[in-house]
Amino acid sequence: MDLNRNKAEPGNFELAKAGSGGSETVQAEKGIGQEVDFLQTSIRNRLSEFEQTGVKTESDIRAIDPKADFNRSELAELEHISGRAKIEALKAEQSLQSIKDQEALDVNVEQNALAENETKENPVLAFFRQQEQKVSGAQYQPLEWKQEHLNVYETLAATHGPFVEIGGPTTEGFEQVDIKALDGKFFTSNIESDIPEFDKSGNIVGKEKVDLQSDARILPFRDSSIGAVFASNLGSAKYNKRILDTGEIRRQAIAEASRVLKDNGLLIWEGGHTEDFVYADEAGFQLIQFKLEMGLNNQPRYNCILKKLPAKS
Amino acid sequence: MEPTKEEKLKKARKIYIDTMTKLATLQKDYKAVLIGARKRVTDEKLAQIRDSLK
Repeated sequence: MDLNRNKAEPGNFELAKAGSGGSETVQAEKGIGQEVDFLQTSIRNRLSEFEQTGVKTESDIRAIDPKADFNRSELAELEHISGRAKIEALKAEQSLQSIKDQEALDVNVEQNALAENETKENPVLAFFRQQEQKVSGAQYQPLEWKQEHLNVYETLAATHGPFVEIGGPTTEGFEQVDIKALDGKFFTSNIESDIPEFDKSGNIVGKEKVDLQSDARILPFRDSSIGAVFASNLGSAKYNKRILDTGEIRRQAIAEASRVLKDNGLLIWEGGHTEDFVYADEAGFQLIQFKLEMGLNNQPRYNCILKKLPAKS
Repeated sequence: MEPTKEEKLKKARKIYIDTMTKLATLQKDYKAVLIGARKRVTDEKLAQIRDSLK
């Protein structure tokens, strides 16, 4: 009989490094409960060494070691040692269990907090999602900038300063707007120097020159120098999705528009995505009016007019 | 302040190592008692044999 034999050598969790700070972080990510389970099992196995050699009667002792002939004091000592082993194992079991229970509780609290955060949608986004639900499934309707409720003319007439179309020129959109109402110069800006000109069917029929070759995210204008900025379908350009079809670029373009616009200047945003309102909110715009339609594939598209609010002093 | 995951893990490992160390010591003590008893019995029997040979 070899009482020093250890059945459950801890190999899986690199316990030799315990306390050295070596692998705690990695193990914590794996899950404390899993490792504590392993520790509890190892201790139980160790204790079973005593239970298998349990000292109850003299005949038990003889069964273990026939040559032994124990006296009462020796028997009492063996029982005492065996009892102490049980107590130590039980104490460890309880301590480990309390660590495991506390961790389960903490994880539960953490998960509840995460779930709560997920359900707390951005209020701007929540509002527009609600609007989209109202019209979901509606027939596709081509965008019309001359919608009365958009009131583009009146709104533009009230602005002062140059008008810039970013990502232009477009064949639709601002071309239908009477730019004579504007009191400043008109620029088209595009990341390309020559952009394709499309016919009504979407076929390229030629090339159009732009006034300024620039990225919508880095416009060549001073701060607070522009009266109005117009953009059409910036998030879904017909021929350059590789560059423009991302929310992050729309966010940066909206922030840049905010930079170049004068206080109370307008951002006229055609074919916008739902998230664009969150970006506009972050950039300090106020929504004046919007029109929502469910486009192809039931994707929401917005035409809207946003006003740059004066910076709070 | 609540203990971090790393602190909990460190504590659990300390409990484990301390307990395993105590159990190993107790096993040695247990074995020592068994060996001691066997030695005593052997010594007693040897003494009986010596006495019988006198």
